[in-house]
Amino acid sequence: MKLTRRTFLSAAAAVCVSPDSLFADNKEDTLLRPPGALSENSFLARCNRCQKCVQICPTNIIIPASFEHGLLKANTPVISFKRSYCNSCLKCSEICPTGALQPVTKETLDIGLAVIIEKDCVAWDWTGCTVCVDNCPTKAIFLDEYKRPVIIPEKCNGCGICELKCPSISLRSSILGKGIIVRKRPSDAPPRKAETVISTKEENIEKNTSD
Amino acid sequence: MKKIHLTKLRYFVLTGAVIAVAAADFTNTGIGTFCNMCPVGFMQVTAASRSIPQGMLTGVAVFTAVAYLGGRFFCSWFCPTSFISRITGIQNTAAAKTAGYFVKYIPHAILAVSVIASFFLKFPVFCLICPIGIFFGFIFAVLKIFHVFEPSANLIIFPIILTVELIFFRKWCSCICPVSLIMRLIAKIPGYKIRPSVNQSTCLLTQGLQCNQCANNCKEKIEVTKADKEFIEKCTNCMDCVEQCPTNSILPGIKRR
Repeated sequence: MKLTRRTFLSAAAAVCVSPDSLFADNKEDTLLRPPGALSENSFLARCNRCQKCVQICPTNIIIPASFEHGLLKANTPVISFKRSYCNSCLKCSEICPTGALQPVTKETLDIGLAVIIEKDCVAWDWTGCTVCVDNCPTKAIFLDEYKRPVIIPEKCNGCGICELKCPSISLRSSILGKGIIVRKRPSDAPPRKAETVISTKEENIEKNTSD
Repeated sequence: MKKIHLTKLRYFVLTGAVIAVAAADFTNTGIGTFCNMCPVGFMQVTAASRSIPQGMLTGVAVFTAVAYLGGRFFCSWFCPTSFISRITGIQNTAAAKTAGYFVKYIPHAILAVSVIASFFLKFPVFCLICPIGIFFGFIFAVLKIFHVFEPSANLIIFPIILTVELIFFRKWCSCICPVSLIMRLIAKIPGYKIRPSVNQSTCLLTQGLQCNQCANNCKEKIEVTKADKEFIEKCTNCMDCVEQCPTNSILPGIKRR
């Protein structure tokens, strides 16, 4: 088909009138958003993709979403724990000009919930690895009687240190993924409890440098 | 007298803005991009979220004030679209003077449709295809490589969208762009305006000579010497006419119009 201006315009119009079918990637409704983000739909209504939060993040975990998540979500901020973790400085939630990220405190910070991937976690088939338990700043992971890590949903704030530090890939050549991954908190999971004490940024850094 | 190369200066303004945005990313200071002063984005976010985004008010106010004084100042000095079309040689031509009533009101329709669609679809619609936003999206796609050490699809898709928009819509700036429309509407408000003004005593045209260098070099096809209503509205303060005038009769100046 020859792509003329008219066909391009009509295709663009078709895309505009049916956003649900073409843009919204329903299975991708689990994108991790920066701290203080509103619910996904309200977030998308307010976010003007100004990239302020991407710029300000001191640990560079906020990155613009790729087109793989759909045209509607392209360039909106998402969290990636590939290279760093959230040090709960909360600058992103304070700087947002449109209110897509609402100001949060360290007590209410809730990026997501860490989930143990049992098939990839080394401690689940062979005891000995305690990396996530040792690194967790909120003491949200404990070892059960078989020395396997278990997460306390009320304490986890989704800071991502566990996902960043998880050594599963380097410990086993058969394991291809991290043994613990931060995902969006499911609606049926218990909410984070405000009284949980979080260690400060300095303590986190100290802890990581001493490792 | 040595000519001031204002047109050369223009390239440094956007380059400087891009460097500032990248530097802010590396030094972790949130300065944002042009999106925070975009009146179209402001209207769309207001419509989509049914609330006024407080953090954008300052930026939009500054933008409005500058547009009141300088008209479509942003188009020639800051807009990545005109920058790209200038350096690639894709002429982003102005609409023909004889363009019909229908063509003249396309930007109005696009602005209205974007705001109304944003209200019903609950997301800023025009932002998805805005070439200014896509240009900065590409900059951030490049910066992303340094943060997560892996390229994303944005690196390929954003330049494709930009190319398609600039090649299929050569008259984007005058016939589609709602940001440009808003600046034209603000520029219509009478008062003090910064525009190139012609010194009639030295202008060759008033002496009966066929010069017309200013109008021939104008990207917006404005008859600079006439200084009519259209001139105030369409002029982007690009300073091409100032540079091209053989007798230095055109200089930027502030005047009550």
